[in-house]
Amino acid sequence: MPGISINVIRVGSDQFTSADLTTISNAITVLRNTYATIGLTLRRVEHFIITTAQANGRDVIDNNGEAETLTDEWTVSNNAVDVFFVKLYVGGVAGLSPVPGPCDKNAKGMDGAVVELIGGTTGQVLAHEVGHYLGLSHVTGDSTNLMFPSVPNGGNLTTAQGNIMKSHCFIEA
Amino acid sequence: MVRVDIPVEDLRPDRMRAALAGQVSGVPPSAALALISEAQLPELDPEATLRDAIANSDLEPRIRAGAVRAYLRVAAEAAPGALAEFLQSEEERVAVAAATALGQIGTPEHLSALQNMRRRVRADVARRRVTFAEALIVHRFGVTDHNVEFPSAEALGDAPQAVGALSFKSVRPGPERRKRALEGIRREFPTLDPAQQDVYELQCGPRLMQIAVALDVVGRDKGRAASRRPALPAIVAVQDPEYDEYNPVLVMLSRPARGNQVTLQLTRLGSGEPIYVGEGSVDRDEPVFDLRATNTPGITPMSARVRLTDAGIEITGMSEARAVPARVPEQIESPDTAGPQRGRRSART
Repeated sequence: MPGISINVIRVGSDQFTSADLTTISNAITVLRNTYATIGLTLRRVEHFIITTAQANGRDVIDNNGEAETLTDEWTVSNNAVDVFFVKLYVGGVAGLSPVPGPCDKNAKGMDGAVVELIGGTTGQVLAHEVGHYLGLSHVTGDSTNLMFPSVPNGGNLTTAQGNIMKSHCFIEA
Repeated sequence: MVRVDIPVEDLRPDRMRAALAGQVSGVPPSAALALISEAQLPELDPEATLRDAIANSDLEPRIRAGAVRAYLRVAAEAAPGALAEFLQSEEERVAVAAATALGQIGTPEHLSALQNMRRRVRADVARRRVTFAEALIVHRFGVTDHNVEFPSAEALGDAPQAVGALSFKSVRPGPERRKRALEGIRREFPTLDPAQQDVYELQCGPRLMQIAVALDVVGRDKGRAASRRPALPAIVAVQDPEYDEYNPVLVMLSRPARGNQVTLQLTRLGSGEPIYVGEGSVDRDEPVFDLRATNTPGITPMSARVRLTDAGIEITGMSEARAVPARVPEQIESPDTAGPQRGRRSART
């Protein structure tokens, strides 16, 4: 079965509590279960940290431009999606990712997903943003779909969406 | 991008205040801040609610700092008074957020308070942000008698030279994109007068940018004002392609140098990191400025030329398709390792 790997990067890692780590763990489970419905396996999950001192103030994201700067400045050089977890993303946005994300993470432009920890809905935000990275656009007319522009939603994916995701260059056979 | 949908029953002032404290399931504090500042909820005074949140030491510092950002957008021209008071906050993160906001909306009368704060903050990141707030006021108002640090271009180092994978040339946008660009910029700079701005558009590879140029700096006198005083000649906003909104991300700071030379730094808004630097002379009939990238991880090397003509500004240049190598976060063995002391596997920056 085709699979995808992710790099979990905690930004301002020294501020993360054990409850935050549980939230991230649960979010990964939601992603795994959601993607399994369209035949996509979550393979490797590797963990990374950026301390508050290293984050240069970007442990709190003030706007989308700052989210992009964060993903530009930090990169893990492997074929997995870089997911930057932050504890606060000011404004009504809970996550941001390019559509689709680049195969070359040193290419010009945003090259990772940023996900805010928002409790029990974090898993849908994670799955939604990685879905963007793998090429999915928003589905505006169906609130049961994971790619509806807001969360919480039904969290479903269609076969056609699965086929788009499986064509991304980060997919492992 | 994904937004958080809030149940109607939670759209009440008491629920919003509780949500800021993380006490409402399904309403994260960030969403509460957005709703308080943007949703025009009945019986809720956004300015007062946000001021209370900033001052509330029971809230997490990052939430209070986020409230400062929201307050800047809500209070706009009324914000400086309260922001100046919050410079005295016992919580450094709140005070730094207030300083950052004050840099965008404050006046020269706030410089001494910012200078005092710069001298007392402990963390390097905080000091750099306060310094940048001072620099923003100095350059927005052309203040010549306030000394603020301005890193030398030589100290920053140069990025690998752009080999010209992508070329760009400025054009003037249509009225709709001009309007959207200025709306986006005014969210961060509420006092900016749209009538005093010219707007240029750059498409560089996948990125669409709008550049608001201050007519009082580079209008009819073609930049000669910049040879006499610090100035903020341009603000760069990048398009969010999903919603066609523009977010200001870079500001151009200029300073007089020897003779009629002018030095330029294109810096990140908020952090103040200079990522493109350059210089030029206003001696010529059509002044020319050259810009190059600094050796900053993750930025795209480029070289650009800005020419000031009778008809306006021409920006041309070449950009790389790949960025300067990014920093690499530290890998840890297990997800419950909170800091760098345990489970270290590799680290490279």
